[in-house]
Amino acid sequence: MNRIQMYASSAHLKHGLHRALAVAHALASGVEPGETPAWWSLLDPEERERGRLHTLPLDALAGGFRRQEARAALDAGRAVVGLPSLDHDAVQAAFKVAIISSKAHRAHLGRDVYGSSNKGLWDLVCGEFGRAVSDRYGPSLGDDPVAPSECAPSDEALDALRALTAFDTSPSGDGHDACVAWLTSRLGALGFAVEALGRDRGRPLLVARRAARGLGGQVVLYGHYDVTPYGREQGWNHPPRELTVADGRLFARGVADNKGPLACRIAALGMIERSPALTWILQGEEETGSAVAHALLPGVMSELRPTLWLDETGYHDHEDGTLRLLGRTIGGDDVSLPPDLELSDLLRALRGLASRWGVAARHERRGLNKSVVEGGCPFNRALPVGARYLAIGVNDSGARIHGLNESLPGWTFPLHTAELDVVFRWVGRVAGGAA
Amino acid sequence: MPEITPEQRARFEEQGHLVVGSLVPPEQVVLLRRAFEEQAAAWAAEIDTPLEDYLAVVSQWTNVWELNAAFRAQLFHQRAAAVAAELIGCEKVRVFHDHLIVKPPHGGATIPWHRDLPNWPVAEPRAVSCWLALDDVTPESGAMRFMPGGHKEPMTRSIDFLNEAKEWGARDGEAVPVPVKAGSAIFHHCLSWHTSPPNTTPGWRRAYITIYLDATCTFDPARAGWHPVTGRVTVPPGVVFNEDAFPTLGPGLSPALLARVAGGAA
Repeated sequence: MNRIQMYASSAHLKHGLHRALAVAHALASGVEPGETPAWWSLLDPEERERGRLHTLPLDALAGGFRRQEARAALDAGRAVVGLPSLDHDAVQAAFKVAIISSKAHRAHLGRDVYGSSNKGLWDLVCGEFGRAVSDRYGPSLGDDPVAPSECAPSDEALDALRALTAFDTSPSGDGHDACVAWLTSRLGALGFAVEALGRDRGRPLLVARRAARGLGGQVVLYGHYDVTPYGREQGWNHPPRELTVADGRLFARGVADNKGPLACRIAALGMIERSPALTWILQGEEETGSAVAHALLPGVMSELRPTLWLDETGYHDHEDGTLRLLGRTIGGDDVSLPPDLELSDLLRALRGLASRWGVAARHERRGLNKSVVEGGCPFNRALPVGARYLAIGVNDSGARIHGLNESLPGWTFPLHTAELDVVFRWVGRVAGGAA
Repeated sequence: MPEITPEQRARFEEQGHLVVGSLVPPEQVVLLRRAFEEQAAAWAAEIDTPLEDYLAVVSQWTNVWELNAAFRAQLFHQRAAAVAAELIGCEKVRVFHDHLIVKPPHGGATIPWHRDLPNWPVAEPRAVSCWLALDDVTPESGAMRFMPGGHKEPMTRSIDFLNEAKEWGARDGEAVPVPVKAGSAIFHHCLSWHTSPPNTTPGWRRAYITIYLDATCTFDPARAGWHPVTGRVTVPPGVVFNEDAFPTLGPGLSPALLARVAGGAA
């Protein structure tokens, strides 16, 4: 719902109508933990799959927009961005005109006044709403749908992941220093000043800082460059020491924990123009007790007051791609409190964004499960009370972290890049605009 | 014998458009109006839509000549083709396509300032349109407006009618409305800048437009985005258009085409 053009207006119109419904539903949805119906539940049951895929024809969309649930969602979503309710009778009248135009074009190349029928419907449903959503969350939410099957990591992300997986950063490996050098160089190229702490105590803790680029606020990102042992290498279907792309997934030791999320974010930061101040904490001993991090992270983190703390990755359901939105406010005694109003707004926006990929979203009020991490996760332990915490990322529940054939889905990379853009803009708005 | 005078040709070259009065007689205009009404009823029925609803939305049809004998006869109108050839300065012209464009009573919309060629998959700027009025056209009913001399300005890209508007600034006052009587035609250059307002009168504003190219013009799919006739082109880029869908008119017409024209006019 970001644009409509003269000769491409039919496809753009249909995409825009799907997006308006999906985004409005997301913005109006609750953030209580547990299953929340996907936006396509607003449609007749037999139309839901085509709705999820953004492939409903105009007459089916008209039927969807007639449903009371859809009307309520559209009006509630518009209210979130400060717009009045739709004139639903006018919308139906505009659908009628657009449908006649579409049929005439298909049947005998009859045309209206250069797309004016589509434009009329667009202006009512998509135009003002699309601009308001774009102003508040950026252009990503309203952009065209993306088929997961047509979605893959960028060349930059693959190159970064190929380089990272080539370093043996398993507990007995000899690639940690080279990996640290590579990370320092890459992050430096992205404008980060990188400090390596605790070299005398073990694998260094990297603290990379980048000044704001056009947005206020600050985000602290966490990650780690070490991996678990390769295990029985003959048990792998693909070589564990080098990246393999097969069947839409990426295979190698550490791709899911945590080199894939790291590579995705490195590539994303090279693409996203505006960002708040960033502090990226990367440790090298998460799989072996985190001695350096446990010793140094509390001190490092106590000096930070970011708008958001972003954990090393996040998850999608392997079965249908549903996005797990792990968001919470940090309470005392390791308690997860509900996200505040601002963080709830971000979770809704991320739900709307995920619908471009045809996936639903589910809020879970908790942190990443790191019970298998020896000594516990020093990042999570050092989060201050009242911190806004979010865990989103490229992993899915089929990743087999620490197991043989560890892997990642490829389609989540572009989604996570878009997520970071939405997160950064949200941080800028919450923190008070431009830096 | 030339169809236009040297003065008319000079005016066309200076302004980019030329009114040719009484191109077709009143009885032919009546025939074309009736043909439109019959055709519109058939089109509305084809998509199972009441005629009134249909005509409130759909206002433009392309290659009507292939469907209807009256329009076919008009497309191959000897004088229209001869005037086009003289204005272009070529021996033979080729039919690019026709279209019917109507503005219903109290209907239609403003067609923004635009030029035609940037929307066509045609390489050379050697074409004219013959805009035949089927009703008396006034500024209130949607008469075309032209920017005199605009066709001599450099080539431009196409205008997205939904998102862009050509602004003339101080030159806006130079634009001229061109009202014409039914049966008269406006010939205009493929690079002339033109626009038209909505129809605010209780009558129809119907026009039948035939586009003639220099027969040597070539196919250039990179010139334009989507165009309704691109799917009819069977030649590669850089080659003159295929005769079956884009017939030539002028001296030396093929017997088959002459028979086709005669059949259409019958």
